[in-house]
Amino acid sequence: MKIALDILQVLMLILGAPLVGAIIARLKARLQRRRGASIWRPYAELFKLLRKEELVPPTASAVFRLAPIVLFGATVCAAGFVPVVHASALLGSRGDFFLLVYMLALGRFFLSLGALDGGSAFGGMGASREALVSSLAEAPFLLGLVSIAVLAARADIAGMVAWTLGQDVFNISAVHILAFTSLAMVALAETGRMPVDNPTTHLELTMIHEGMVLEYSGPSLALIEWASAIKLHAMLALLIALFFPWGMASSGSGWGLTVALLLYCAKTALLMVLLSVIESAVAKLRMYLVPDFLGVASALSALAVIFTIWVKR
Amino acid sequence: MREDTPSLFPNSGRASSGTAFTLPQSEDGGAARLVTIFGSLDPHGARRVRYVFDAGKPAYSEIVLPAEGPLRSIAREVPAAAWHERELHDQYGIEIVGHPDLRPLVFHDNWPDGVYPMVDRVDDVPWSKRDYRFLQVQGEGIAEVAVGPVHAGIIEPGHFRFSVVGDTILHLELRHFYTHKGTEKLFEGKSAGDGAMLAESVSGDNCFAHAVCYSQAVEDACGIKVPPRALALRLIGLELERLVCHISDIGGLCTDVGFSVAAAYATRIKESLLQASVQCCGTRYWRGVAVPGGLRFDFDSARVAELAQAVARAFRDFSKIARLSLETPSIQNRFEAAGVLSREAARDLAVVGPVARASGIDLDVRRDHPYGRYSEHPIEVPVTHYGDVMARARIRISEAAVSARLIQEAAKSLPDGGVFTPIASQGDVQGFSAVESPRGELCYWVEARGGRVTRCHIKSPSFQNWPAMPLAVAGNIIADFPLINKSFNLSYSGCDR
Repeated sequence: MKIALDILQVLMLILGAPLVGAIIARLKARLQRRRGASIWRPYAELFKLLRKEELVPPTASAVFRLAPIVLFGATVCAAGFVPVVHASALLGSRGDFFLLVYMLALGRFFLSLGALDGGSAFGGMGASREALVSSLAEAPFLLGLVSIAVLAARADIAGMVAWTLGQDVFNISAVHILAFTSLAMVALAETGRMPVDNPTTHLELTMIHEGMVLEYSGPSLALIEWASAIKLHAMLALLIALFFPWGMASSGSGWGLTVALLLYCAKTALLMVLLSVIESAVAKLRMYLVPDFLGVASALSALAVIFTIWVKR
Repeated sequence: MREDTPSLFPNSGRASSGTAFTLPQSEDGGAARLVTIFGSLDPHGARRVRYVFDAGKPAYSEIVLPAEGPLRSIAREVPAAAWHERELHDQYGIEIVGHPDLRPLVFHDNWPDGVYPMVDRVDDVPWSKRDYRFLQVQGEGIAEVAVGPVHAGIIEPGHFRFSVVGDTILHLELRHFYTHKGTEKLFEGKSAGDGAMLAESVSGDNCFAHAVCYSQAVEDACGIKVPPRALALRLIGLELERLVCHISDIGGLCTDVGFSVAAAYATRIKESLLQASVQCCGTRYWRGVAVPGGLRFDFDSARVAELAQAVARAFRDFSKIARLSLETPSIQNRFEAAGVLSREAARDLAVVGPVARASGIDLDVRRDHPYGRYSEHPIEVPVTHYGDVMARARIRISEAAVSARLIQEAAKSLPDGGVFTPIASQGDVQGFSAVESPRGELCYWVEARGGRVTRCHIKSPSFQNWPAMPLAVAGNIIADFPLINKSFNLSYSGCDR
């Protein structure tokens, strides 16, 4: 029963991912008083790309073809660590939060390699910027998770969530606030959202993620697009699980699971609204201010770790 | 960095030979602003070169030189002349001595050496393969980034070659003229009346300014007076075009920094004006409206009043969204101090339009050389000296306000009467006209014999302003280039012709 639920959770993260991106795009369209595209469009797009011919630059090596597969696999693995409807995950006890962070890093590393292998100037430019952003995002990502791990005295994500569930909702500490803010900022950078990267731009010189995927087409592009969607969904689910887990099912009863699922959808919806408002309210940062943005995230997460000393357990 | 070598630019070296003249002075004693340089053929087929300067008087001053022999370049004294002289060399094969860089400008590698379209036949030009050498910037850590001519977005083609150190741009070299259509050649043999349609096709979003400017040049050549009603309607069209262009530019700037809400609103407001134009005259961009002698058809006065109301509404919405955008800290952070064009550079390159006014050059054809009914309306010309993206955005917003006011005034005092005076085909005539298009000073010079155009020169503001772009982007990061480029908003088609 438990294992079936765990598998279901991962499938939810993978199959629901395109929907999350589409709903954010739809919300942003509504804020611009546009009608916006159908929320099912990304599925049609993935289906279309999977059936299309794949074009590979003549100078590219096997890395170019391999990169999207590794990226997709690593992202799915990372999603396997995230609890959604109950405080356990498919890969929950098989690795700690470090593994989650570096699974995402592995995927990104391979995507950068693929971009360099594609041979276009924009691939290289995107890859170097991605390397800068991700190396700066790594510290706050890890420190933010460390602060919660210290409080929970557990290193696996599912264990940290289980500990949080045992706490009183109103008994939140400064550590939680600091860690949440820092991880939310990391999530923006990590998933290539505004104000760090503009996912809708057509200007090749300003691109980060889009620059890396310019040379990709067909099934490879589908895998990359899907992987980024899963990453966004998994990051949102991770934020919910770590900071707002209350309502997760404690037993396998049908009633508890239904409530947990509905609450999860409501929490995700809230985060999506928040994200679309943030993305609509600010202009993209100048490229050399991205380190400042992530520097603030690092400082917040470092404070979170320091404050764990004073939190009563 | 390596200096330009003689092998790259074979005609460099300070030569004293070649026909020369004294550069005109402006009223305040400085050098007069170069407007354009172009060639023409006299009735016997001999080449001549005309230099047009703006010395501050109501009329432009023109200098005509015979050009069968070599001509001394003025590009070292007047850097703005550099592209004009290169174009002259490409079109007429006129030898220009002492020019710092005489590489082909208008024609690309497929065009054979020694074929000059304005003097030779061009029915059957063989495909050729020439060699084009880009300026090389060398040194440790310098990389070259080539962008275009095909871009990721749906925009016009143009090639940009950046020499960068890390993310900082050291040098930008432009290579344009991918949309060169030989428009000036296509004018030859057209009847003077039909030319307006060709002029409209030079630059899509400034088509009315081109049509009016061409028409004015023909009217100047034939010495006809256009009925006041036609002039007033032309003024409305020109100002509406400027308003649409500026609203679209502010929206484009917001799009480029990902400020999507303001961008979407600007698109909506622009569309409302285009649809109001359809209601008023049946065309979104006023195509097929202006013609030498006046307008092709009269407008219903009630419809013009409705258009003026739509303009008032649109401008109200636009000023709200523009203020909101420029007061947003993240926008200020992106716009301020980005892409600064210094006043000296702008003056040396004789930059025109909003770009010049944002760099402290007080210049507006509507006020300095009034045409049509502009002499009856006082025109405030906004000028600021910062020269950055923010300054260009602010200039556009202030100009939009002036345009909205002018449309109201002109619509309120619309004269009655006809809108067309037939042009009488005469002998050998020449006419010149300048119009303040949304991008700046646009000039047409038309020569006609027996009602047929024998030469038409188009000086577009984009041709004049493109060489200033590399100076504005140097020292900025490469990721800011699209924003700086958008703030100039130059037309490729208008430049390439």
